[in-house]
Amino acid sequence: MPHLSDTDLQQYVLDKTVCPPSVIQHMEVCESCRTAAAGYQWLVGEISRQPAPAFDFDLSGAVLSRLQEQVLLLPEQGEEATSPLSRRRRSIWPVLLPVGLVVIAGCAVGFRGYLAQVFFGIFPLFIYLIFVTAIPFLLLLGVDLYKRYKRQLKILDFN
Amino acid sequence: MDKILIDRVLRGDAGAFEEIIRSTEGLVAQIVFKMVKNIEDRRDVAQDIYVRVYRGLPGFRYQSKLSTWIARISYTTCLNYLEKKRLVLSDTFPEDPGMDREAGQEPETLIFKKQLSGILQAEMDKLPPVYRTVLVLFHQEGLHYEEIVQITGLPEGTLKSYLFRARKALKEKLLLNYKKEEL
Repeated sequence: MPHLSDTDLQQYVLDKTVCPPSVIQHMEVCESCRTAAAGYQWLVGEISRQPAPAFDFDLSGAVLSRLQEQVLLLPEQGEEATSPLSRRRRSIWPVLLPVGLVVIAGCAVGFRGYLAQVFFGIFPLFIYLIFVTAIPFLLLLGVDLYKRYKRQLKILDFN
Repeated sequence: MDKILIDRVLRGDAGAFEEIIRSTEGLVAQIVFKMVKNIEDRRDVAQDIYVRVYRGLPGFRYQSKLSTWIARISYTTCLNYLEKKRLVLSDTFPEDPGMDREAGQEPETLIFKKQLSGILQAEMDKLPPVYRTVLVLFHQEGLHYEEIVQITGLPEGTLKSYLFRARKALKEKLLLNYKKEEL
């Protein structure tokens, strides 16, 4: 009688409700497989009982003081907040963006005739420039991505 | 709960951020300890993680639990550390005997007669960092596959394969150790 594979044994130990009936039936009659499953059961239990690691220093204190050093100052009493949100509130983008769009739209409408003339006049040259600059750029980007991908794979490949 | 805490941090409440650190540092420690061996580097990496968390909080979109998001930052920070140091390249997965359990092999019962916790810990430390990490996240932290997928970015099939191989390798190593002791 062939014994169960390790895949079946692990599945049985982790969640026997998803095991096929043949596996359950085999476990009922096979002492050897029950012993092997008990080995996995012990292993899983022992891993979960391993002492959890803990930092041997005051992590929150160290982080907060580092944030203060890095001008990400958390507000002291009476001091203006410079947290991420307060920095976000003070961001000029919400004002700058609509103004920029209005200016661009205004220019486009005001100079539409001139812009069309310029655009169609330089169109072939424009296309050529796109090809000349974009293709090498994309190639370099592709090579860089590939190198990065290979490096990541190398890290994850432990065999 | 996450949202309340985050809103407090974004309003500049340092205490709220301290609360976040205290509630998640256990999970972060699991990842950092399993990925980074050097004790001094662990301190730096742990602090880097929370600085990144603080900077990233305004962009947190509540698509996962805060703890999962922080664990994800921890994992990527550790991966970046390993990549920078190129430490992981010297690690190898414990040799797989390349066979399934053979018929009639019954020394497993004897495992229970030995205190193998120490050996187990030592064997776990020999596993590659990613294997160690997913093992403790699943079996010690009790995270579901989906959460570990979110943290590590590994496909679910790959994650399950890593877990399977890690458990099998550990079991075989423990049996091997036991046999040596008996001899």
